[in-house]
Amino acid sequence: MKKIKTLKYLLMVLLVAFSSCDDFVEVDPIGPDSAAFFNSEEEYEAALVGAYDLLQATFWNNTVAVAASDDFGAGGDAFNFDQPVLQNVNLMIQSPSDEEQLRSVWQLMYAGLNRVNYLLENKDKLEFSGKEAILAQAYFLRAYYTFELAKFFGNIPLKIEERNGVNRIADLQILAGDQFSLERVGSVTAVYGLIQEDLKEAIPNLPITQDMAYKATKGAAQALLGKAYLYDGKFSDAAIVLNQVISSNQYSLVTGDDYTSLFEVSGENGPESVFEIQYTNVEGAGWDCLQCSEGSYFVQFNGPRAPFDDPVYASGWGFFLPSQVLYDSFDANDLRRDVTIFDLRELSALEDNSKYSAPREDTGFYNLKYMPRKSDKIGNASTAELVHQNNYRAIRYADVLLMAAEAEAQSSGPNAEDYLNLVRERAYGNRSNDYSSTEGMLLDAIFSERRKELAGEGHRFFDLVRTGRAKAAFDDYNATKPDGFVAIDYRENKNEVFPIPLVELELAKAEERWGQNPGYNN
Amino acid sequence: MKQTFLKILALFFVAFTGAQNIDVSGNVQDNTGFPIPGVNVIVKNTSKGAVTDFDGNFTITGVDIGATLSVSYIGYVTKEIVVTDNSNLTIQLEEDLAQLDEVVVVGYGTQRKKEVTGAVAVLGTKDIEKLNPQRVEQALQGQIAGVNVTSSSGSPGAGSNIRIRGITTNGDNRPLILVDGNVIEDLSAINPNDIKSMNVLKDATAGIYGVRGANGVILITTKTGRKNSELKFQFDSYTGFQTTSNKIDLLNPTDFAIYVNDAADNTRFFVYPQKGTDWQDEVFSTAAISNMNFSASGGTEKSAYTFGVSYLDQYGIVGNGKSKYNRLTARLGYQYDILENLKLSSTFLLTNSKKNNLPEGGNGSVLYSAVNINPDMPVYDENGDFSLAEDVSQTEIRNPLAVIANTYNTTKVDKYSGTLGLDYTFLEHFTVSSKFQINYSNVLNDVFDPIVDYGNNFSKQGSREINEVQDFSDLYTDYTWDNYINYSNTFGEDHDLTVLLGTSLYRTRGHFYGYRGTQLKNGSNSVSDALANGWIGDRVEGIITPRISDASKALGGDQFDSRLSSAFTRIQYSYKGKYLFSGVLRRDVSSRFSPENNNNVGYFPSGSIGWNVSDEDFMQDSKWINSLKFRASYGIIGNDRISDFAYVTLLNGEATIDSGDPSINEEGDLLNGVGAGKLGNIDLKWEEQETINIGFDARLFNNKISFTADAFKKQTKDLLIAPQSSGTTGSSAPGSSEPFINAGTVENRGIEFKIGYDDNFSEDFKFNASFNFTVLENEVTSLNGNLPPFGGEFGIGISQTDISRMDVGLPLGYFLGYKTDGIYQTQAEIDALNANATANEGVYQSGAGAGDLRFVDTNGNGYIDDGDRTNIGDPIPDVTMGFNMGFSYKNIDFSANAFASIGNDMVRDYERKDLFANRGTYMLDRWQGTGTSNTVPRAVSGGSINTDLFSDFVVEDASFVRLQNIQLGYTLNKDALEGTGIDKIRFYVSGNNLFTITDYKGFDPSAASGGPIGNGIDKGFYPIASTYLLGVNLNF
Repeated sequence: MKKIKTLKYLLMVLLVAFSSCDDFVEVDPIGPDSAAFFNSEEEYEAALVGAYDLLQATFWNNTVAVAASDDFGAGGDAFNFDQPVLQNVNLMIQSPSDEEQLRSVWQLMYAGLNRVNYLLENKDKLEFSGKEAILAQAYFLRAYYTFELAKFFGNIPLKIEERNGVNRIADLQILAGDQFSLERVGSVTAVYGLIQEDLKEAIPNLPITQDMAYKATKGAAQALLGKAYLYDGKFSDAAIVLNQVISSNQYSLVTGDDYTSLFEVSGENGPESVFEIQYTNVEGAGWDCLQCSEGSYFVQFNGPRAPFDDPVYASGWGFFLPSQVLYDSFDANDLRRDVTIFDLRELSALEDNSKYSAPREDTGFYNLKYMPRKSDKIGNASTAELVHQNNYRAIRYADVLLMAAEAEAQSSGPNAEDYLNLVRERAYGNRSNDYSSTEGMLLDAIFSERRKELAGEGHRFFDLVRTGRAKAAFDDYNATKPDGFVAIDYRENKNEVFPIPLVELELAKAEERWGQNPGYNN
Repeated sequence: MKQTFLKILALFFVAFTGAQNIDVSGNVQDNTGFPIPGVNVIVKNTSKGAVTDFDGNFTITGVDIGATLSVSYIGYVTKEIVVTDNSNLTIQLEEDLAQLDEVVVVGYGTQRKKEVTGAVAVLGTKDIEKLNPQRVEQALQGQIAGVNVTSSSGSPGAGSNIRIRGITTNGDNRPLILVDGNVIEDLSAINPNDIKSMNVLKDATAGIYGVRGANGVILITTKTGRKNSELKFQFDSYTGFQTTSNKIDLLNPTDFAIYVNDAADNTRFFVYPQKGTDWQDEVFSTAAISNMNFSASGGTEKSAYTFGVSYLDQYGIVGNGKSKYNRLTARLGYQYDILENLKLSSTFLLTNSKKNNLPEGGNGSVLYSAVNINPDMPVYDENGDFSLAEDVSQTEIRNPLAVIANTYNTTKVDKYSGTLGLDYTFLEHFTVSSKFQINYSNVLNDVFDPIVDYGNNFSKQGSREINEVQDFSDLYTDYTWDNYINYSNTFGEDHDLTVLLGTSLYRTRGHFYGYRGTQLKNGSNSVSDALANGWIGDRVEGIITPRISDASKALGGDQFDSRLSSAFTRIQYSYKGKYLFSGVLRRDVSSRFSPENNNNVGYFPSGSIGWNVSDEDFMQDSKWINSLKFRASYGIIGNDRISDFAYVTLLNGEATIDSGDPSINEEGDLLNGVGAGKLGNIDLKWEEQETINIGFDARLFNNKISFTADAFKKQTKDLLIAPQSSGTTGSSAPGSSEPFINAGTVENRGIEFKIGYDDNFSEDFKFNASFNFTVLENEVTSLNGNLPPFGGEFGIGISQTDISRMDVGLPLGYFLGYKTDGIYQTQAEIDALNANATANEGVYQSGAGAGDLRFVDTNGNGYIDDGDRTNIGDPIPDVTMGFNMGFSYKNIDFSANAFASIGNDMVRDYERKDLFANRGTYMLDRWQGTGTSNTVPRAVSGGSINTDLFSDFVVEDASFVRLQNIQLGYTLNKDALEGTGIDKIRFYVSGNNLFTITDYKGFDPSAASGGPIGNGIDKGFYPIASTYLLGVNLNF
C-alpha cells in the first residue's frame, strides 16, 4: 500500500515533467529585442545615440582620404609595404581586391545608415514632444553617412522610396537578404540629391545650439548641405545655405593662442567648430573591434615612428607624410604652416634610426594637426594606440567660409573675396595678404587657400576630384616628387572614386547587378 | 573440456577413496591479491556452501574429499576446485574480460554488449591506467577508431579538441560528454584515475541524446564501491619531468648574418662569425610534474561508497612556473538501498585548479618571439637587464624572456558537480528513475600588467606606461533533470523486450562579473600589490571600471540562459539474443530557435538492427569463430550549438559615444545608446545529421582475436554557420555580427577498423596488441544556394584574410591559395611570360623577380590574379591509426602505444618577414642565382610575393607518427608483502610523446587551431611535452 503511494508520487513527477516540457524553454531573450523597442522617448534617444556611434568609425575614412591626397605620402614601415591598401591608395593603384580600410569605410558607413534607418523605420511608433528634434538629427546623420559613401564610391546602392513626390532614402533598414536585391541609385548626382533632401528635412527642426557637443546643430546641417550642393555643382544653392551659416553669427575664426591650440584638446568644440566628431581615451579598445573604440585610431598613424621621443608628442606608425611642396606652399609668415606640419627634417637627416625610424618615403614632415599627443596616453594604459582623444574637426568655420567663397565665386556672388580674406587674415594675423587680382583668378586663389587651410584633414583629394583638378595635381606631384619616390598613377574616369571591394560585390551577389566602378576590373 | 576432465577425475577420486570428508576453509583473492568479499563458494551437487567475509575468507564444514567447489563472483571467471586433503585454500579468481565488457552504458540505461547494435567503443579502467594521462582526452587518442584528439596547446592544463568521425559541423564540433549522466563541458574537472569506463557512441545510437548527440557522445562512468566489501585503499603517485618534444631548426647566428646581408644587398655590415643566443634554448626548460591519487572504497549490506582525492602539479616547458598548472579533485560516490526496490545513488565532485597563462599563438606570444627574434642579440644587456629588440627591422618582436618575466596571468577554477538519482522498481518489470545533476563553476581570472618597456620608448607592442590589474569572475551553473520509466520483460523465453520512456530538462546559465583598475597605489609595480584580494580597489588608486559597463548590463551583456526540454522513447527487442532491434524517437525543444514558427521543436528518430550470427545453429560447430555479429544503424540527430537567441536581433551591440561633455558621468563623458547585436534570422532551424553505419564484431580463436569494422556516412544538412555577409546589412557595426544561416551540407564518409589480439601463453606470460585505423573523407556537398563561407588568416600585419574556405566538392576548411611550380630562375623567363600577358597590360605576375616563387596560372587567363587561387590542402587527416601493445611476464609488465595521422596539412604561419627576424634552416637552400634552387625563394628584406601572398610554399604536409606512451612496470611478489597489510605494490617508469616522426617544420604537427574554417594555421603552437615519469601503485 505504501509502495503504491510512492509510485503514485513518482508518476506525478513524471507527468509534471512531461507537461511542463515546452513552457520550460520559453525563455525571453536577455536584453531588449529590436522588434519591441521604441516604447518611450528614452528609447528613441538611445537609438539615436547608437546612430551617432558610427561617426567615431570615420577615422578609417580619414586614413584613406589623407593617403589619397597629392600632398601626403603613405609612409609606414620602410621595410615593408606597410598597410598595403593605404600604400595602393597613395599610389592610386587600388584594386577591387583591396579590403582593409576601403572595406571598413564601406561596411561601417552602411552600418551607420542602418542604425539611422532602424530609428526612422520606427518613427511613427510613438508620439511625444521633442521627437522632431530627434528625427532631424537622424536625417542629418543619414546624410553624413551617405555623403561619405558617395565621396568614396560614387553611385552607391541604396533603398529608395518616394515621399511627397520626391525620391528619398527609404526609412527602412537593409536587412539580411535585402542585399541581394539592392540596386545602385543611378548616378552620383542622384545620391547627392538624396543627401540634400535629408538635410533639408533636418534643418528646420534642428536647434541653433545643442546641450551637448556631439549633437548636430542647424549650422552643421546647413554647412553639410552647402557642401553637398558644392559637390553637386549647385553653386547658388550652396551660397544661400552657407551664407545662412555665416549670418547666424554662431561661429568665428579663432586667433592668436586659440589658433595655435586649435587642434589641441583645449581647442575642441570651440567657436570655430561647426561639426566635430568626439573622441575620448577614457575607455580601452581591442584590436579585434577597432570600430568599438571611443577614441581615434587615425591619430596613431600620424605619429613619427619609434624611438621618436618628444615632451609633447608621442610616436605612432609613421604614416601620412606632408610633401615638401605642401610645406613650401606656406609663406614663412603663414601661421598655419607650424600648426599643420611637424618638421623632423633634422632628425630624418641622421639616417641612423637612433632618434626615430624613418618610414617609407620619409619627407621629414608629419601631419601635426592629428599627431598623437603624449597626454593621450594618460587615460588608457593598455591600448593607448587605439584610443586617441583628438576630436576630428569634421566641419570648421574656415571650411564653411571657403566653401561659401567658392560657391559665390562660381555663382557670381558678392562676398567671395571677403570670405577668402577672412581666412587669410586669421592665417597671417593681419590683412596685408588680402586677395588681389594680380594673384590670378579668385576661384584659383580660393582653391589654393583650401589646400593650405584644410591640409591633413582629409578634404584635399575629394576637392580635387569634384573640381576636376585631380589629374593635373597628381601630374604636378610626379613632376616635383623627390628622386626615388614612386610616381602616382592617377587615371581619369577611374580614380575619381574607389573600387567597391570585390568581396562586397560577391557578398551581395552584385558583380553583374551593380558592376564594379568604372575603370576597375574585378 | 578441462572441466569435464576434472569432473571425471573427481568422480574417480570419490569412487576410489570413499566418503571421506574434511572442513575446508580458504581465502578468495583477485589476481592482484586483493581479497574478494561476498564470493559464493558452493559444493557442487550439494546444498552446502558459504559466502566469503570482508577479508575474503570462508569455511565449509564436512566436505567430501573429491567434491568440487564452485567459486563464483560477478565479473570473474567461475573457478572449480576439487577438494583434496588440503583444507586451507588460497583461491585466485581471474577477471572475466568478456563479462566485464558485457554491460555497456548506452544512455538512460545499460545494455549487454552482445545486444548492442550501434557503433559503440569501450575503454576500460586498464586501458586508461596504462596510459597515465594527465587529462582524460589523452586516453582517447589512438585508442578508439574514429576518434581524433588534437590539442590547441601543449601548455599544462590546456584543453583538447575531440572529434568523433570528422568535422561534421561548422560550429561547435565537441561531442556531448556525460560523466555518470551529468553533462561535463570541461574534462579537466575529471581525474583520469577515477574513471571506470569510457564509452563512445559514434553513430545514430547517440540519437537517444537527440539534439546534443550530433557530434557523438562520450559516456564516462566513474568508479563505485561494492556492497558488502571491506574498506580498501588505493594510492597512486608519479613524479617526473618534461622537456619540449621539438625545437624548430633555425639559422645559427652566422648563417643568419649571411642571410641578412644577402637580403639587404650587403647593407647590414655583420662581422663573421657571429655569437648569439639560441632563443629556443632560453625559453624552453625542463619542467617537473607530479601527481598523487588516493582513494578509498567499501560497502555495507545496503550501501556502497567510494572516496577519492587527487592532486596534480605540472610546470610548463615554456616559462616553467609562469605556465604552471595544478589541480585538486575530490570525489565522493554513495549508493544506498532505501528499500529493497528503492535505490539511491549519488556522486559529488569538487575540482579546484589554478593555471598560469603565458601569451600563446601568434604576434606577441613567447614562442613566436623566440623563433623570430634576432639570434645575434644577447638575452641581457650590459646592465643585466633584458635586452630590447629595438631595431625597426624586427617590429613587434619582443625579447621572449622579458615577456615571460612580465606576464602575471592566472586562471582559477572552482567547480562543484553533484548527481542524485532514485530508482524504484515495481511490478517486477518496471523501474522508474529520477536523476538530477547539477554543475556549478566559478572561473576567476587575475591579470596584472606591470609597467614595462619592451623597447623604443614604450612603443613596442605590449609596453605599458601605466600598470593595470584585472579581477574577472565567470559563474556558470547548469542542471539536468531526467525522469524515465523502463519496462523490461521476457516473453516465452525467446522474446526480450525493453521499453524506455522519459523526459529531460536542461538549463545552463552564466553570469560575468569583475573589475579592471589602472595605476597601483603609491606607484607600485609589484605583483604582490596587484594580486587581487577581495576588491581591487584596495590596490588601485587610479581608475577602477567594472568589467561590464552598466550600459551593457542593462542589455544583458553580463549573462546568458539557455534551455532544452526533451522527451524520448526507446524500444529494444531481441529474439533469442540473435535478432536485435532498437528504435529511438526523441523530441527536443530548444530555447535557441524561434518558438513562433515552431522551429524550436525537433523530432529525431533512429533505429538499429543486429544479428548475432554466431548464435545460429549452423555456426555452433565453428571451431574458430567464438562470436560474430552484424550491425546496422540509421538515424537523424540534431544540433543547436549556436549562440543563444540567434533568431532575433537584440539591441546588445556597442553604442557608446563620447558626448563631448565631461560633466555627464563618472566614466568621463561617455553616453550609451543601443544598436543591433548579432543580426537575427527568424527562419533558423536545426542542423540535422543523417548517419548510416554498418559494421560487424567478431571474436575468433578462443576469443584471442577480436575484430570490429564499421563503414559510415554522416551527412550534416542545414549546417548552422554565420558566414560573412554584405556590409550593407550593417553587420560590421560595433558589437554586431553576421546572422546565422542554414548554409549547406557536409558529408563525412569513412571506414573504421580495429583488430585486437589477446593471449595468455602461460600463467607467466600474457600478451596483447591492437591496431586501429580510420579512413575519413570530408566533402562539402551543397551550399543551399549560399555564397561559399570563408575565414582564417595568414600572416601578421600584412595579412591574407579568408584563406580557409567551404565550397562544394571540397573538404570543409580547405586552404585557398596560389599553387607554385618552382622559382623564376632568370628575368628573361619572366619577360617571356609578360610578353604573353597582354590581357593584364603585360604583367604576368605582379611583383615577381628572379628568385621568386612562380605561381601557376590555374585559370589560364594568361596572367596571375585572384582567380588563380585554388585548393592547396586541407587540415583534415585522411587516415588516422592507433597501435597498442602490451605484455606481462611474471612480475614485469610493459605497454606501448603509437598514433599516426596521415594527410593533414598545416600552414606555416609562425614566421615574420622583418629583415632581422630569424628564418628556418631551410632558407640555407634559398635561391642565390640562376639554377641554385627551384624550391626555396631568394632572401628579401621586406615584403615580397613569396611571403605576402598565401601559396603552397607555406602549406606543409603535417602527417606524423608519434610514440605516445611507453610504460614498464614491476609488481612485487606477494610473499614479500606478507604481514605488511599491503596487498599490492607496483612500480613503473613511463614516457609520453618520446618521439614524433614528421616532415613538418613547425613545433608540433598535432596541433589544432580555430574552428572548422580556419583550422590548421600554425602561429607558433606551444609544443606538446615529452614526459618521463616514475610511479607507484599501492593497494592496501
